[in-house]
Amino acid sequence: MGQRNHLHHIKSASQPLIQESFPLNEHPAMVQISYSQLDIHNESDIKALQTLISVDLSEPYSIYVYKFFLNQWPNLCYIARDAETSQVIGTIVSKLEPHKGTRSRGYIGMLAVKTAYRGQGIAKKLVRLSIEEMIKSGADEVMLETEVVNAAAIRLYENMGFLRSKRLFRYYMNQHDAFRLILPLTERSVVRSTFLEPLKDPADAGKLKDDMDLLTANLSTSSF
Amino acid sequence: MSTDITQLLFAKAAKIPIDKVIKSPHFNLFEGTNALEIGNAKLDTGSITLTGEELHFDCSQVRSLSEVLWISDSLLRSVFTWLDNASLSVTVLSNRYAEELLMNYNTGKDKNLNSCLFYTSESPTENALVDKVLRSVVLGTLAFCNLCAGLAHNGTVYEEEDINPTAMNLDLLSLIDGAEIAREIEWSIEYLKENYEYHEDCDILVQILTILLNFLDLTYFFGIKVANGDKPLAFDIEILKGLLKVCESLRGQLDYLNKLPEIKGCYSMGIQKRLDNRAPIKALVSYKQEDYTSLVTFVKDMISMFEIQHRTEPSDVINYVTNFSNYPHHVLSRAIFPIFLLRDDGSILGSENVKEFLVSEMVGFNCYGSGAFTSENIIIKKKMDEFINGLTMNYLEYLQSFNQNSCRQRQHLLKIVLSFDSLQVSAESLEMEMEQTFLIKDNINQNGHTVPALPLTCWVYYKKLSIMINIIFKGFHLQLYNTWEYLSMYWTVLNLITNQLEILQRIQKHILTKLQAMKNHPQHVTKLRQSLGRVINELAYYRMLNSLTVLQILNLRQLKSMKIITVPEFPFSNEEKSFKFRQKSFKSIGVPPQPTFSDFQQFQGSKEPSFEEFKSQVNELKKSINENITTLLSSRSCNNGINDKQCQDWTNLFKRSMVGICLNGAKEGYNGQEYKVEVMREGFHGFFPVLKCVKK
Repeated sequence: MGQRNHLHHIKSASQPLIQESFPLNEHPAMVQISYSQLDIHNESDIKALQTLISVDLSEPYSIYVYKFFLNQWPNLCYIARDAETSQVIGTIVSKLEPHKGTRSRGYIGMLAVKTAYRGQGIAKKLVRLSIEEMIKSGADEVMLETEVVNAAAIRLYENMGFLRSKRLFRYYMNQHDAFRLILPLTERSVVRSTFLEPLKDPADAGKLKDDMDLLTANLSTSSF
Repeated sequence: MSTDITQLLFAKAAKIPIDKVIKSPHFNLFEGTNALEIGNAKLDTGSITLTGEELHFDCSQVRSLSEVLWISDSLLRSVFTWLDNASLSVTVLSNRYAEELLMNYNTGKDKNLNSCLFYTSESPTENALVDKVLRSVVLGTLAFCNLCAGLAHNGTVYEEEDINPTAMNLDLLSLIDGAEIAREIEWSIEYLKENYEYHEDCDILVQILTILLNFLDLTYFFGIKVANGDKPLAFDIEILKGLLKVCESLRGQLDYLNKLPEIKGCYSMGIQKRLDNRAPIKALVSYKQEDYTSLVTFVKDMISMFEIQHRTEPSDVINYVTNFSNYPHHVLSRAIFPIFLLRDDGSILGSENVKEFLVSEMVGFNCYGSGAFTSENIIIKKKMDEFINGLTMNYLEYLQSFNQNSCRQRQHLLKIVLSFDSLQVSAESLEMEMEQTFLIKDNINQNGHTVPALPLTCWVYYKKLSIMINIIFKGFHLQLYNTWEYLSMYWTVLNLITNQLEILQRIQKHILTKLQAMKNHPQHVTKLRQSLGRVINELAYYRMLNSLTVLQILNLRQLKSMKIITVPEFPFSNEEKSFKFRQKSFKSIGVPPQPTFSDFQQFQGSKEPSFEEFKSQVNELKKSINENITTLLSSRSCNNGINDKQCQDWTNLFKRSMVGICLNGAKEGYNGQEYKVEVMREGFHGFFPVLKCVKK
């Protein structure tokens, strides 16, 4: 039941959605990049994705964080691959949840591209794919946090229409402040949640109910 | 008694679908982020490898005076690296002496001073420098840490974000009386003076001990009463000035201290392995990141806090609080400030209660002689009491926003503004009821018509507008707006400033009307003239903001028409959506009405001044800015000596921005193909960053 719920969004995980070519910094030959949604059953891709993020991002993430994102929103996780070597060279991990019960808020949790492949628009492509998928799923806005000193990331997101909504004091473990960036997509995003009708999305309600049922079942049979 | 749950766990786990996440309502993403994961090299503290020196570190070893100085200096500096957004486990508690002493204290039967030991076995040799002197340093340091952690728990600043008080489940000597620790420190000072009088290290160590001794008395300062008026402060500020001298002297020894040889193994990540630790692996933060500048800043902040002793009227407190928020402070000072300002007994500075203070602030500004405050009617009194109670609660929140870090200040103001909007509605209906039902007339002449003056409503509205204006300007300070948004944001804030000026002029007219009516009552005239002075001062401030904002707008319009600043084409959004998103914060505010995107477009489409007209307007604006700054500086320099220099520096930054905008802005003949803008902030006012045209 849970499997169907989570996997029906995935078009064809094994087939790349998009293929692009560009010369790689270190190699003058044209490199083809393919983009695809994550196949939740592909453990090696998940491992590669974890390694990529772990090397790239300052914050350490436990397996629980990855599971939280990837199992619930595999359709919002994209992988960029070097088409020649099939090596995972970029990834984006996102989620989409109701915010204050009034708007559907996408969240870009992690974005990483291998150093040698940077500067070719791969991150931009991954972000676009993720946002487009969120829009299809009814997102009203997309949110993320980025370090105030990460000029490249800020430029990438702001060129897509993200706005800095808040500055978060010493948000990261490395003591840097963060900007909370929000991309308003629908009218619901530009109205205060107090003045919005609650979301009525049966799919969301159903998903929550499934989880709660399973949890209740486990708790009720637990004897410790 | 233990139960083996292995089989039960396996049986339960087998029922969980492989790709299913089970989310407990008691568990969220944040906790997941902090969950430890065995085998994960970034999260599993069990995988920390310790060196031989760390593993075999011996706290009972005899140490020389220089070694004890090195440990003491590094420990005191570690406190300030901790307070600079680090955790105790990688700073103070990573010191082996601190860890051992705390472990013995926490596991001791009685948790008293006797259990505060570095080692529990018999010492083979006389070890006074370690057992007595170093021990008193560690005791004093940990007592200070306990005070700081307590301030974080107190909620005046944000736990973790401002101060991380997590102490790995160790009690930081909370059960030991400060007087006992003070005696230990005093003994050490005497011992050092007697036995090491001519040793250079002795003086520095005594300075460290003196600072720790003073810190034990810090809470005394929080409770000092600062009454309104000419009553002398029952406290000698010289104590803090003396402490500052010691701290500055210690800072002067930094080169020498940095050359002292380090003791290997004395600081270790081992505590992260050994004790309860819910955090990922964290590298040690070097004590050398602190050069005692934070210490000096903190003590200077404390001295500056007492400048309020010269207060004579409510506006002094408001200026004092506003001034505090305008400058960065040590986190500890930010934590102490609200405790000093707003006491547990509900008073301001241990004197009048907040409600009395609020009433005197309103009366001192524009409500002098207002029927709302003077009426003897029981019903009016009751209604006013209810209203003032509601206002006091929100005013208290407003006062509590000023000590927050700059990011949080804006968020606090965003919440408060909605309450002030509701209060304005309540105030207006209350005053209209007073006028219509109880015939309490308080009128002014507005455009040839006699209209109710509504002083209560005006005060709330004026406060609300000042909060709204601050929210937008603080957005510039926090770098929240992109340059293509500058025009719409300055245009939005200009609308608010215009409304603020209107309300202040209305208040001014009301006071002048009252002055005319009471010209034969000298007592009233004096009070009303004081009110008028404050209003004129506020008018000067907002006129200056108005002119600077118009200056920015004129420049931005030129930059836009030259296509040096353009709105980008967005794949998922557009300018209108962005504009509406920015207006969202004030969406529910009834008065003043919020401008729409079409209003903004209309403004953008209006005729732009020619370059000659532009230059002439700029000159007019410069004149107005200078005049108003002069008015402000002359009144602020008479601010009863409270934070005068900071007030002047703050005001002068506006002048620097004015000059910066004029020098670096659009020039005739510039165009977007050749030029782009760079934002300059250093040396300018945060509300008015300067856009510099530079060649692409």
